[in-house]
Amino acid sequence: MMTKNMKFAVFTIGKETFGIEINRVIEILHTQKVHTLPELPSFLSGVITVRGEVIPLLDLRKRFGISSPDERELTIIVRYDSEKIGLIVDTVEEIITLRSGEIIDPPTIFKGLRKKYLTGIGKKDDRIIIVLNLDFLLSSEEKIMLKESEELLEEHERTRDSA
Amino acid sequence: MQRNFRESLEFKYLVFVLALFVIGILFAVYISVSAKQNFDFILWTTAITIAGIALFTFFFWIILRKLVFTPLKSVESAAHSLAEGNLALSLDVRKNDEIGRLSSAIQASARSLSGILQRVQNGSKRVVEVAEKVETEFKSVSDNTKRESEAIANIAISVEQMNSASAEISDNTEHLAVSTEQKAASMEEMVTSIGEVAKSAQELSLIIDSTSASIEELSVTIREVANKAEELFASSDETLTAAEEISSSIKEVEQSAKDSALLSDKVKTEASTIGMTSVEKTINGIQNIKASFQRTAVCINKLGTRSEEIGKILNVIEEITDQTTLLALNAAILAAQAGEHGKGFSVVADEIKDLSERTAFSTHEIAALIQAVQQEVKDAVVAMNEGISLVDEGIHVARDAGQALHTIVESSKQSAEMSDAIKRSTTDQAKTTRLVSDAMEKVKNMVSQVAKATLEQSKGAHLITGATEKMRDVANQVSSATREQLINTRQITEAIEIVSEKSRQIAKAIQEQQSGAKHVFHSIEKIRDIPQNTLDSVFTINQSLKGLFRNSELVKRELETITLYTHSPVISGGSEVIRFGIEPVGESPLAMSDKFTPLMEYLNKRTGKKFELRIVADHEGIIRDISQGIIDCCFMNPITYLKTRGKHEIKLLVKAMVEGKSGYRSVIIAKSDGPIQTVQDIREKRFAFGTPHSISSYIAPRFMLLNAGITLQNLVHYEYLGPHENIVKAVLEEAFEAGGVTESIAHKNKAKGLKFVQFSDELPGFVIAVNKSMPESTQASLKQALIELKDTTQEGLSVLHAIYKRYNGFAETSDNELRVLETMMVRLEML
Repeated sequence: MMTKNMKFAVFTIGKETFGIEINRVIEILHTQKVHTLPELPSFLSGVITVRGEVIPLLDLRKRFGISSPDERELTIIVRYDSEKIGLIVDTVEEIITLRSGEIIDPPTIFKGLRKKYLTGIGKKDDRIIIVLNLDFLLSSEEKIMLKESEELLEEHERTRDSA
Repeated sequence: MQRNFRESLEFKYLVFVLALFVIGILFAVYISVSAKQNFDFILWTTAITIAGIALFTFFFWIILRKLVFTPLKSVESAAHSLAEGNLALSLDVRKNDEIGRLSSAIQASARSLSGILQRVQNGSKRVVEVAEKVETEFKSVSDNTKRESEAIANIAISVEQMNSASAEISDNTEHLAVSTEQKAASMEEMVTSIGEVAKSAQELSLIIDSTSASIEELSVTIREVANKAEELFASSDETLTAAEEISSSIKEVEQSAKDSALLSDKVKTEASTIGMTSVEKTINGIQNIKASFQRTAVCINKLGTRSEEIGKILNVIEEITDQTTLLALNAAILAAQAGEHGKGFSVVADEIKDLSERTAFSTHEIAALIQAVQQEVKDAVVAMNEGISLVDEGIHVARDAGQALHTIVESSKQSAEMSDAIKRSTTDQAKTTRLVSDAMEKVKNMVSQVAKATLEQSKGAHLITGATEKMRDVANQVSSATREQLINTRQITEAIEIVSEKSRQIAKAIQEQQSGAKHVFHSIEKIRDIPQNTLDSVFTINQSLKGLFRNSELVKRELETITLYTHSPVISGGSEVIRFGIEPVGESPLAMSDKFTPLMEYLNKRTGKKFELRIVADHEGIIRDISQGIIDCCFMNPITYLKTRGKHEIKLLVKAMVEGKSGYRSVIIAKSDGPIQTVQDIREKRFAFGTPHSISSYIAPRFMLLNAGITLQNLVHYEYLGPHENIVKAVLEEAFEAGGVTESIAHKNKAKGLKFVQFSDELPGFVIAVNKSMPESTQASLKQALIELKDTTQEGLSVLHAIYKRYNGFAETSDNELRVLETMMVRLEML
């Protein structure tokens, strides 16, 4: 399933370092003005508008329950199924390449994260990179809710555009 | 005997046989006649019959005599001798027929009667002994009383003598008082005459005194005049000196006024010229400084503004760098997504990222520097402002200085004027002072002349005063001598009065003493009657004792006429009576009898023998009764046992157990807060014993005392108080310093304030001993019965407790267990 070398965008939340497969990343943005909508499900922090496109935001710090003292904040726009979703993180550091040998299977729970969130644990030099499995970041219910809200947002957009 | 024979059974029997004999002959004759035999046949038949009957009768008589008459006779004679008071019978008691039993009954009753009488005899002997003892005691009491009486009589005589002696003393004292009073009177007369002399001497002295006083007054006045003159002279001299001093000081003032005027002038010039100029220059300089400070401040403020601008620019640079970094990152992502094609692009993106990161770093450094510059600018502005305010202050100070200089100039002017005024007035003053000085010089001369004249006058007065003083001294001497004489005389008088008072007091005391002595005499008279009364009662008692004594003797005599059966020992066997003696323990014989009756009943039941109580009056009775075989065994004090053992064959059987113990201890007690600490302390003190026949209250305490080297002679006083409780009481009441009691009593009373000085060794309790003549088997069964008597059974408990509440059985014992007591008694020479 995995190619020999895989590339990952590396970001941090608090003291932890995470990796996302580079192919899922669309863009890295400074956090923009966040709109909140009353119809949005509670697990979403709000929406941002990127080049006219409304994208829902998922604050990973809240999702993983990691409190971060870092003032900096970046948004990584990733592909999620057919949709886009913004992930709020502390910083994005670099792009790294990991060989398949450098990724090991995750334990049942690693640093309080459930196994389903993780693809594996990457080790590069002295660093430990938690490789996230984006597909399981949301539950199936949440996925449905996300879809619904996407539709809702599109409606919004249309009404706003027409207005 | 002959007369008695006709009335005896034997005589009656012989008559009966004779009658039978005659009847037999007649019967034989009758049968022969009726058979019509010849005469020869009748004769022969009759003869044979007679012979046969005679023979039969004779043999029958012999048998009867042997079986009946002789024993009866001996019984009779025994009864006779019994009637005569001879109880020492010996009857043949071998046969067991009626007569034999009668004999043994008579013998037994004679023996028991004998026993009783023997005890009576012993009792009366004891009475006689006691009476004799009492008589002796009374004799000594009587003697003592007589002696006491004599002593009292002697005392009475000596009191009388004392009385007369004190009467004499009293008389003498009275004489002394009278003569002292007389002496006092003559002394008083003397005092009066001396007083008169003193008075006239005093008057003389007074006159001289007044003369002397007026002369002295005169002298004083002259001296005062002289003094005044001297004072005047001195003061005029002083005035002169003062005037001169004033003069010189005026000169000094003048000089200093001149100097100060000069100085003031100088100050005025300097202050107005140099001072003011320099102050003005200072003010100008400071103002210049202020201006330049202000300019600098403007520059610095500008610098601050500029650096802020730089900061803004830096912010823009930072933003751009950030953006660039992000762009580089996105570029890198895109490059990575492009795979091999994006590789070159990826390198560029990385470099851009590097550049922007370095830019960000430098921007941060510059920002820090700018911040530091801004801070410094702020500090400089603050410092500048402080400088300006300091400069302002400087200007103020300079202006104040200028003002002060003005004031100085003004005051200098004034002081110069003042100095001038002083100069002028001092010149006038100097002139006046010189005038005063001249006048004083003249006064001084006049005064010295006055002083010379007064001095001469004073010398004359001195001479007069000296003479008068001598005269006064003489008068004073006379006066004081007389006064002293008077005082001495008065002292003598007072002394005599005191003596007189004392002798009066003595006389009174002696009178009191005399009356006291009279009282004593009376009391002694009364006391003298008491021994007489005692003597009388002793005599009466003696009389009754003599009566008792005579009666006892009569009893004794009576008893002596009875021959007692004294063949001892009594052989006890079978149902023979065993006589159980009891030594009384401080109780009446009757009470003892009640106490021991249950034991006797128990022994009767257990041994199948007959035990009888024999209560004895005292331990001496025990010793005698055992030696005489009147008692077979005895419950006794071990002392009695040891004393008996020396006189008679006696053997220990058992000892009484008190609460499981056979022994107990004696203890010497003393009052807990008293002076006795050890036995040695009892030397020369008072000691309380119980009775001389007590181990714990006499033998053991005496032995302990003896071990401490104290004999009865070393005690101040000792007494036999009987019951132990009495000893405890006497010790607690301090009638005796110490006493000996049994430990149970001592422990019971300890809390009342007793101290235990010393305990004795273990002492033996009461024992039961038997006469050695008692058969071994009887001894064994008695011993077994006693040992088996335990308070664990209901029967045993009631038997033992009847005797003594704390007894709980008897145990085997031997002479060895009495060794301690024996040693004590040997040491005390009681054995």
